[in-house]
Amino acid sequence: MAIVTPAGVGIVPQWQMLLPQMVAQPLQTALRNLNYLHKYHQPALVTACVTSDPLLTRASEYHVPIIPSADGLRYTFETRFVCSNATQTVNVSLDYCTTYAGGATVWTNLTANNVITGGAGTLTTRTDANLTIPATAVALRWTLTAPGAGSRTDHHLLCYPTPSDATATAYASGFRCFDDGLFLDADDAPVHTEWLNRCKSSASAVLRDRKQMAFSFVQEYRTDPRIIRSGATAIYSARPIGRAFFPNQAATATLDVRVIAGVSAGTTAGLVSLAQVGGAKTAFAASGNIESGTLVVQFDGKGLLTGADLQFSFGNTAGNTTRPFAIVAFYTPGT
Amino acid sequence: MIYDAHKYGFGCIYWITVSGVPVVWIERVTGKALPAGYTTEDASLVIDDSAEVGIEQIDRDRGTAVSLSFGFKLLDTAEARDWMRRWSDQATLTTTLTVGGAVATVDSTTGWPGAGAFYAGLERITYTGTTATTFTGCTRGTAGSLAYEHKPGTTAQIITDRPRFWRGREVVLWATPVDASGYVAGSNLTDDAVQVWRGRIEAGPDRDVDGFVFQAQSLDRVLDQPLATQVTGTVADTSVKYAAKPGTQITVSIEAYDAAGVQQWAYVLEMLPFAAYTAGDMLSADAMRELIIAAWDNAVTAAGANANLSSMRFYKDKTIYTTQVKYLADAAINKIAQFVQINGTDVTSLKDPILSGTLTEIWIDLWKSAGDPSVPWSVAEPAGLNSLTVHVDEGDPADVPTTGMVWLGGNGVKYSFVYQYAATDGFELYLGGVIQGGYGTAPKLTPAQAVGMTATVQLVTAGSFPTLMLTTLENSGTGQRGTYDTGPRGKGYGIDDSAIDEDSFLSAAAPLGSMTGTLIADGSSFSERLGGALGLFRMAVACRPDTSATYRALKLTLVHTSPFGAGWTTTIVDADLLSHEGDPVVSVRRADSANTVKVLRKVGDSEDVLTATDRDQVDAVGSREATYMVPADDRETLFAAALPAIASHFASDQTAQAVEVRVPPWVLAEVGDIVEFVTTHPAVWTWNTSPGQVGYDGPARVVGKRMNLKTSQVTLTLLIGGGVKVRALSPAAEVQAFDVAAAPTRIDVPLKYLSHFAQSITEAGGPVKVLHYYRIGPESDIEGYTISAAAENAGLCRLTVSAITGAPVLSLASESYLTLPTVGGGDLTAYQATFAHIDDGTQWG
Repeated sequence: MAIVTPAGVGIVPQWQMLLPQMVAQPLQTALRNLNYLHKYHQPALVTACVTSDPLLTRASEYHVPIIPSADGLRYTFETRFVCSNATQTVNVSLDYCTTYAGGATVWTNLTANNVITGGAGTLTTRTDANLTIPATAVALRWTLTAPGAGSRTDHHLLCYPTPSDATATAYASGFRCFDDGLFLDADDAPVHTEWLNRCKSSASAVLRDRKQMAFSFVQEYRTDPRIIRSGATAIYSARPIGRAFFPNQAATATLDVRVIAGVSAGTTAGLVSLAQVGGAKTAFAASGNIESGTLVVQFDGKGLLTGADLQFSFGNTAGNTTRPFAIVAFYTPGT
Repeated sequence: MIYDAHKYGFGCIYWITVSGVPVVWIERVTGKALPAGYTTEDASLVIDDSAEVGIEQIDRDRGTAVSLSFGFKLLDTAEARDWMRRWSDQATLTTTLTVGGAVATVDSTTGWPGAGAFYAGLERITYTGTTATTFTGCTRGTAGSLAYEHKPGTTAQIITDRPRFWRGREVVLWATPVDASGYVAGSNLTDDAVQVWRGRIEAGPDRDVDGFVFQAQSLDRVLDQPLATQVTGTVADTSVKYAAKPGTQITVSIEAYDAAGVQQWAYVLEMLPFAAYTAGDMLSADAMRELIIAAWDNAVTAAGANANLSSMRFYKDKTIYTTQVKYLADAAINKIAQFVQINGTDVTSLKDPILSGTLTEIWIDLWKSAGDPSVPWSVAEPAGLNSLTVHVDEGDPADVPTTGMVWLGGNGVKYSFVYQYAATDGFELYLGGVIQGGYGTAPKLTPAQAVGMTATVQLVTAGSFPTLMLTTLENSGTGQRGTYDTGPRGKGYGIDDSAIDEDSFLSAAAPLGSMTGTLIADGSSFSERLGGALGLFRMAVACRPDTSATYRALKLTLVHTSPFGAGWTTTIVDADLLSHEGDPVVSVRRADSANTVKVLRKVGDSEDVLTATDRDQVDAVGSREATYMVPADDRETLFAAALPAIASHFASDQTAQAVEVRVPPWVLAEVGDIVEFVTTHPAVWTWNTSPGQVGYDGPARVVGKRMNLKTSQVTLTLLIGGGVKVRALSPAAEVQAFDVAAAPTRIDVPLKYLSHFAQSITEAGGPVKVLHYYRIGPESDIEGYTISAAAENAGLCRLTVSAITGAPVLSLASESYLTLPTVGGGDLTAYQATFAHIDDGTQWG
């Protein structure tokens, strides 16, 4: 018996799907594709072009809410930044938490490494591969230290699943792998319905388990971040509109939205919202904790250009400051 | 089953029920207890003159059954005469009787008994009391009839004490067993009874020499009836309208002062401009402005301010209307102060006194913010065609959905629009947020052109194809027919869910089961709307017995029509054939199979065509075209599914063969079933490779079944796949429960596998071996159980274990499954051979 993970998706020619001409393993090809899907379906759990002051000469940290796989998968992290001076040492530290409490959060370190940058002004990409994020994690933290000389400008944070080969175990997501032995080892074995159903159920389990970040606003976590709302009177204003694409998806989707935002004082309810332009809107409190909600979006466009225009807004109460740190939305296929 | 007893000399006594008539019409009186709601049995039924009943054949391309009519006669008995007579009591509904209403209000109940029953349309309603103008204590939909809403102005407004018409009433033909001595066993007429036929009266009663003759059509023929349920009318105007709020109150205070600050005059003007209207009345912004001006004039007069204040005028400033009032010029007046409230909210825009100077007029802003929909009188009419007010001349405006489509025009020129909002005002229909469709194929209509045009509002239904089918079958506007009786009346036939096998629709496999579509009610029938999708994917809707239901109730059922399938419900052998009336097996000439197939995706104005051609066949015999219209939402999804379906048509239709076989009634084969047909009859085209051998041994699809009511002889139409050998996946059953994991004596699996395991045991003539494996690995092919019996137990299929092979350990956590292997590389039984195995030549592996 062997659990084979093909290097690419196997395509069954259409003529092999016709019952009279069914001559070659269409079911086995489909089932092997499950193992491929498990290993190579890698939607970004986090993808964020961060907001911070440019030319930083200080350390920075970013807090990003996440909804990781129920299977406790390995993930690969990529961190991109630019240093003004050549060959600087920047320490990139990655942490996760299972309970988020703002500055009082207890973080568990995934890895911390010193990165030696290249030439002055060149983009540095730090890759930390195959770090396991438990299913119970609720947020990630990126921390970058100040370079020894010159400044650092943070660009982008990325985190995507890089699972190991599927094994013959019951995955919490509902995924079940395919073992060639089902076909090859059996003496009188039936070719049965459960295998066909497994094609659908396991593929669906993988797609739904690995949520994809469809919208992100992440800015430096500090008392005085770059984008705030404050003043003597209450002001509520919108940020620029962003278009999120959902290629070839159905007419609507329910996005899972997570928000981290804080206030200097005063009430927090409804100070942050995410909306579809011309559509639904969901409001969140700037409580300092992770706030959860959903947003139903109606797609327009067709095919690869299927998408929706999203916009987040936030406001302050009179005399107080509101600080949005992360507004992210996750897409689950089929919702 | 009732017909098994025919083998031992039993026969049948037939009886019918007609919806709304509480009489069992039967061949002879039995004295048995009648079904609930029926009070009398009358020995007047004659069915001998009826032709065969049942389904002659399924039209595989249109997805419908070609079913036979049922003719019956009620002899001229006293009971029959009493029901055929003209009504003696009559009244007219004066208000709408809602579908659940317990009180019917009429013009007069004079002459009616204090308690009894009356008929409104097809519905029979019992009542327990009367007043001068009401029937009280109404029980709706009695004696098998269905409840509807009845409105004045419809045929149902006239209520009578006898049915005014019989056409459309449901007829169910029943058969109850009777022994050779003529005795009907049991205490109830329904004991051991089955439904034989179900349909609706199409014609009758017609007077015959000795009775009353009726003709009825099968329930599945209803699906060919057009659903003519559009709301039509004429466009009266195109101005944007808003719902009136009668309580809207506008208060304006105006005060005049001289240079020393001494008040010269002051008035408080209270206005209720829309008080004469009721909530929901639709008014244009122009009409509202005129009403406000009139209210101002009245208020000025009431306040005695005519000497100082003129009439109000509206002026448009860009997109906002504001008001202008002139006051009497007076050199003494130096300041004007104004205060404005709308519904108690201060909307004063100029609170500080206005220095008059040479001012002789003041502006009063009766709005707070631009575009505020709560003050529509301030909003300017937008350019273009945005709204339609339609005077309805056919249909009920209340049936119009809140969003949808409307067509303007006719006689070959039609303009389609979508609308975002609908409101009704009596027989006036207002459609707002109107956007012209057609993707530029039609010129844009101007408001002036639209006025006077015929408007046809389309009723739209969207959802998966099973949902579309069930909604079209059940929709009655009452919400009472079943889960899918949703939306306004007019989208469907109003068939009760007791006459529909919903599970057969909901379990429809992909692609049809998962595809979504949109239906637009354009006066077409179920067959015209959905028959293309059914035909393309070789499915059909037929009225057939639900073999698991009480009385084998006849229901509209979604069945397969391809000649392929695995497993079978029964086996038909030569010994089952009836030859006393001639050749028991007759080859049926089928319609020429198409070699060019067009799939037309059409939803509203959106239309795509996919054409596939079997070139070899076209070259040989010329093009024979078939078109399937499918109202699918997504072009790519449909065409991806259609291509293999069409290829399957090409591959199988060339060789498929249809035969009619005459069998006794106890052969349990229903339309849509796969049966095993083993015959040596030479009428069946054979693909046996041995020269000289004739006959057939393999699966066949039942695509027709009709019965002679006098002889009970059944004629089945079987579709045989010709030379195509097909095996299907073997069922694999998830273990639900067991007694001992390592040494079970019983294993429970889902009930849907009962027939499969039972059939396996029957075909094998004894216990069968099943394979055990875990859904999560590692799997084994050497562990299994020997199953000696399968039976229903507490909603599951319980398998009795008689032996264990290897050392399997059942586990719910590891997801134990059972499935059917072969033995020694060969198929155990012919039934087993219909399923694919690794080593049996099907080459799945």
